[in-house]
Amino acid sequence: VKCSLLQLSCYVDGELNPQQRGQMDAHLVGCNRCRGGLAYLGEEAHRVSSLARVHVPDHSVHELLEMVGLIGAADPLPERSNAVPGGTDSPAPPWLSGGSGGALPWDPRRAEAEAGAPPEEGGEAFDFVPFDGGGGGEFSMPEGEVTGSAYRWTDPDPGRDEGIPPIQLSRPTYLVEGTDPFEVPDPGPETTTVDPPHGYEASSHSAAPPVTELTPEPARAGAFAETGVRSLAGEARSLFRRVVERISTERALAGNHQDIEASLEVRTTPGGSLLPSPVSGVAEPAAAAQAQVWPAPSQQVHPSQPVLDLEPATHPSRSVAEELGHGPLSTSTWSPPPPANEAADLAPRPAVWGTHPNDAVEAPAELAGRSQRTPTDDDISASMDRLRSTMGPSHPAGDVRPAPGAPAVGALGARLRDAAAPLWDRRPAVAISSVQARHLRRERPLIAFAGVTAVVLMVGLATGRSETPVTGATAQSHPAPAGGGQTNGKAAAAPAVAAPGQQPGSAAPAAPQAASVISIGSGGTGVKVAGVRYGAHPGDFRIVFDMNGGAAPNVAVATVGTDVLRVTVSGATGGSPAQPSTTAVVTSVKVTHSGADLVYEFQLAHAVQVAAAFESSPLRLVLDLH
Amino acid sequence: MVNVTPHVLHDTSDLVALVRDHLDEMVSYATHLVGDPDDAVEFVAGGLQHASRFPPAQLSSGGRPWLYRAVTRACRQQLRYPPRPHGPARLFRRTRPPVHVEIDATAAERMNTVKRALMTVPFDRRAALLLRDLAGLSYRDVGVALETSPEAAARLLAGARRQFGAVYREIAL
Repeated sequence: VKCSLLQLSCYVDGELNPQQRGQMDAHLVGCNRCRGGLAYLGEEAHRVSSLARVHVPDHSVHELLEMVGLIGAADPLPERSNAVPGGTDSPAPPWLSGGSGGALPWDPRRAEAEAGAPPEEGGEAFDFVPFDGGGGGEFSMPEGEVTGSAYRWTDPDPGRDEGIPPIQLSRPTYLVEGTDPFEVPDPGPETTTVDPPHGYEASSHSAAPPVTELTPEPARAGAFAETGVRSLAGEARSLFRRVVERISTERALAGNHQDIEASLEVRTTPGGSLLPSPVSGVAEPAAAAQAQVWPAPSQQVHPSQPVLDLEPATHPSRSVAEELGHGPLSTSTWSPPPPANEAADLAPRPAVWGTHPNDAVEAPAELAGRSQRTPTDDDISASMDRLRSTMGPSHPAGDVRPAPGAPAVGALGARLRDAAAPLWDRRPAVAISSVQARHLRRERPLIAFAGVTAVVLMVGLATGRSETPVTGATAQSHPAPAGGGQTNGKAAAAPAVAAPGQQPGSAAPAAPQAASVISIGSGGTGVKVAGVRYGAHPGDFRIVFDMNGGAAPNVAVATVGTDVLRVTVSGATGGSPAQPSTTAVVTSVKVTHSGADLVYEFQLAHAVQVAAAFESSPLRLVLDLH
Repeated sequence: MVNVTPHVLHDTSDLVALVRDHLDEMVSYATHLVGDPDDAVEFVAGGLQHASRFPPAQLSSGGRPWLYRAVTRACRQQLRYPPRPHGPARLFRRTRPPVHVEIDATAAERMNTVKRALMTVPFDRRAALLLRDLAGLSYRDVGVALETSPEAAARLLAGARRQFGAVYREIAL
């Protein structure tokens, strides 16, 4: 017999003839793989067979058959062939009645089949060659070979169920007429279980699966929508419950982390000796294993840690800190430990720090809030050296096993040993760092969000359109070319821009003073303004001052309000300018002389932004109005 | 010449008794086959309507797998009864199933892991699995219901169990 999933599946279903079944039984004795596959297939078959069943009540059956046309409206519905005697109008399905019937999907034990009764007519099993995946060809159906019933089931252990109480299957409450179908039924009948037998036999002995009843609709109008609403409400409740559970779980974990972190803190006395953390309500991790059972002092030997002889009776004149090499304790509140209380040592160790009689000796309340420091690597190595030095000379360096015949450690020593135990395996540093890393992981989205926000703000500040008017200093940083010997100043001199109605900061006198000022030029004198030209472009208006002279004079361009553009040319002379041909931007212009300055005032049709620049060869001042 | 005229039963009492005995099984089978109780009732009605027009030669011996064959075909070909309306009018009309199903939230609509794993298996394999393990049909009857040979039914069933088990173990973790 070859290992074949197909043959195993047929074996599970009882579709093999007796000869093949016997061969398979013999094969299963020595083949672990097939035994595993058999259990695998049995589990799958059991899962599918345990799916919920649906029960259609009698009036729905009548309605369905009438709609299909099998019976008339006045025809009575025939009784079920497997109806429960003495049942109600809607008899329970056969799998709830405890007996077998035609509607029972699986066949319970049949005594006649087990006794080797002749097969039923038309129920013969087929004998075929299992498909082994080797290209062996098609299945063949032997002719004339009738070997037995497909439902025949052989119980390998008939006396297996002896002593097992019978299953009491009661009718679920939601199958009773008049009850609310939306109420959660009593899961009692559904949760009745039997010891899972081996393999596929589980489906033959397990309790009946839950039954879903198709109940009639008392009033059809709106019931469909009501059903949908109920379903949606159930989904919403389930989702809300999951969210609440998740939040509570996260909070509990966060609190637990804090407690664990606090409990892992290593506290030291002023002299440097180590004390466990007196965190109330939190069990010490190092002593958690010994919290319930506290052995006698003679048995307190840790298998992997050195044993210190810190019995106060043996060293009455030395304190604990001296024993550890940290020098005498400087605090006056620390007194030499009293003699060990044997009764207290033998008492069960409480899980909460401070409730043991010896806790007061080891961790005075005055020291609870004293100086704390995390031991460094030097402290750890020094402690290791001191502890190694306390071992016998027969032990090599690094061997932490107790010396033979060494006195057992007392309660105080055990507590100090437990407090120092995390130092050997560096557990505190790892644990604390892992907790911190977990906190960081939890806060990672917040940190990422803050970082992204900061980056967005920086990018916005860097690339945003600045509405701040250019002050004179800024404009003067791009001086106009001085003299005709310079190259084309258009590329070198960036135009200064001023927006009307904005406060320039320092140059903000009272109204109707200039609202914004552009100052350009290199201080040239003796310049004569030959004329003013205008040019209109879509969205742009240009004013050009033609000048005769060597160096560019100082020019101040300012907007007064929103309708006046004032251009002051220092040390220049000129005549009346030409009026603009179009009044779309500049309606009129007039020129005045103010001392040595030449002042042009342009009446604007609307508010504009001004950019000013000098052009050379020939020298001219260009104002672009946007 | 092939006679395709529907064969009308003159006496439907045997068929009604057969349907009466196995209607719960068929609705359970169709429910887990298509995944929805309302659709299952419509498909069972469609299968019964078709079965009443094309009855088997021997209703007493081969009636049960023949009913499953009709229901399986109705589920595969989406044959509902009464048929759903077509055209734009269906957008304004909500048809009700012939037998109204009060969805029981405890079982029928509970989407457990077994159901989810089952719905990932192809239709034929799922039908074979349900016919054998839920309805309890033999391989020969499964072959009749699926219109295949018993050997093909055995292969379908073995492959279905393997695929279902793999999916179940994957999503049940």
